[in-house]
Amino acid sequence: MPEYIVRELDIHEKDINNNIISFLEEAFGKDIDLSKIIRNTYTRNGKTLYLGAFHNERLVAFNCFMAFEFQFNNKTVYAHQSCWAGTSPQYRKKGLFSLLYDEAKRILLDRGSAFIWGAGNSQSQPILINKLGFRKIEMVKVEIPAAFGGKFFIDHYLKKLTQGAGVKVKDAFLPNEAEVMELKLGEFGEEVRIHDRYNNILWGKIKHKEKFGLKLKYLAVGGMVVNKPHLLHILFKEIAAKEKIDYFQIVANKTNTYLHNFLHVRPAANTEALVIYDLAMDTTNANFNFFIGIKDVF
Amino acid sequence: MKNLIKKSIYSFYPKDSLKPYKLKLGYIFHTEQIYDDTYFSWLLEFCSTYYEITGARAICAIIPPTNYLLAQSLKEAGFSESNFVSRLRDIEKVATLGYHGHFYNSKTPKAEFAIHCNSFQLKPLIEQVEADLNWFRKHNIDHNGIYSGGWWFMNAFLADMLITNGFRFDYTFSRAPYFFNLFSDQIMSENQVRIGESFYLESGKGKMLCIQNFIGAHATPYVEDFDRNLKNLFSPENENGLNVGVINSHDYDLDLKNTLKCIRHLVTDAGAEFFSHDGLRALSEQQARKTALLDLNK
Repeated sequence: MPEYIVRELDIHEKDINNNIISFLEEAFGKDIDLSKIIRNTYTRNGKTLYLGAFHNERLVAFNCFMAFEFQFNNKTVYAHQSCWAGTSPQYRKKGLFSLLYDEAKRILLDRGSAFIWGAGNSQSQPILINKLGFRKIEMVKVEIPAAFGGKFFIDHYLKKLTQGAGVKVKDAFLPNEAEVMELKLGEFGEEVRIHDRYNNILWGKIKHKEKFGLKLKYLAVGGMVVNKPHLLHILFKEIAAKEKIDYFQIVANKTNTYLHNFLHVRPAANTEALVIYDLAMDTTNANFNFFIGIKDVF
Repeated sequence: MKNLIKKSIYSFYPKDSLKPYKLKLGYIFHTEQIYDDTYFSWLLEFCSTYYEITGARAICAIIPPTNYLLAQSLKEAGFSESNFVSRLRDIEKVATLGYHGHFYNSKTPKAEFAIHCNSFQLKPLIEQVEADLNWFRKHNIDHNGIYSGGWWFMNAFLADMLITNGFRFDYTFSRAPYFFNLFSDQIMSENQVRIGESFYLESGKGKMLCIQNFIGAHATPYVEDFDRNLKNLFSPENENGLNVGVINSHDYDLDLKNTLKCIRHLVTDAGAEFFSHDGLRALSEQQARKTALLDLNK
């Protein structure tokens, strides 16, 4: 096996080697430049890790590990999302993907990261689970009709909760949604819609989809903070009226405790499962209050 | 139409429906926009008239200009810090000052970035509380050890910080649906604190007397709206018991005419007694039998 060297990359370094730029073009396409990757991955906590594998000083594989801040039982922890994995075509199937992950695990554990997570596609997920020790959590979704201001459906899809019910967040990793929203606002600007009412917050993007021959407008929910579950229906109704959407689409992993607020939650068979690898914390019995918006590809 | 219906229904509604509750009330402002000439003049007028009617001083819990949103508003309004301090001195002549904290997970001061129970990060909270309290000290403004939380946010860390910094009176806890807070709800439920019952919150560094917030102040022409809303909050155990607490409004959403009308009605028809902070404190000290212990690891 030829000798590969894995190095951490300073992605903000102005004099970054030209071969990184050519690698990105080669691996991800010509419309991808460094600034796009930075806007997409560099969270404000500054702990995002960029790793490259080099062969004879040429960058031949790359992986980013986005750092996010979480609230876990009222303590702040950091964990990293794997994304932007790519290998030069002539260096594929040489174990570079695993090499980068092994180094990431070592570095991030050393830096106190709680876990690495990702989604992975049909190619990478089997490697992550079978070879690299990740475990899988299935995704679920709920689609709430919102036409006519949601008057007829929102109350049917949101549980009628008494005060305090439905915000069980013990042993749950709650993303710092402010951090996620800031990242997405920096990348997409006004495409990102943020709504709040009575300390409940919901953000996402407006998308369109053809269904039954109709062009439907929906809010893909990127994230949520629930502080007053008994008043959550008010927020949903306000959004339905303001955004004039046909439905809300909420996709999350099945351990997300905020899902207790909703009825008619069903498997999201077409969404890649969440995969988790524990580093500084044992998360076996933890919940992950992740929505789809935390993903780099949202 | 709605007004006509209300008028006819309320013509049968007894004016003294709150009489059995032995209300011992105070009035607290979440004072946020005193840089606005109109709101400021209304605030002073209200406090003076309220004193004439009740013999009690209102409490004005103020946000200091170290708050990101207020700093931005003062800048936009071209309102100097010295003018702000001068207005506080004017308020001090007719009301009792306290501290009102609003905290953010971002330097972009928007409600969607609020620190709340399920969007909690300790570091920015500590930084913002310290900055606020330093401002009080620097300008020799006495907050009288009184706190009332913005967005009704309270948790063990904030309470601990307040106690450590000499705060001995809190007006954040509430059972009203719109003032719901997860931590407050847990504390009151675990310690079986009923509505209108003051209690202590204790950390290793001291204790704080918590006087509850009932509901928002009146902003409709029908005083019966207030009576009905307050009665909805009460349970049978509130009848013939001592019910101590405050009603509230912001300075910017005060309905001067209707709120004063309601205060007169409460004194005349409901036999309510109004108290300044010192009076509420004395009553609460007599009443409080329960002490909730703070647990930072929960």
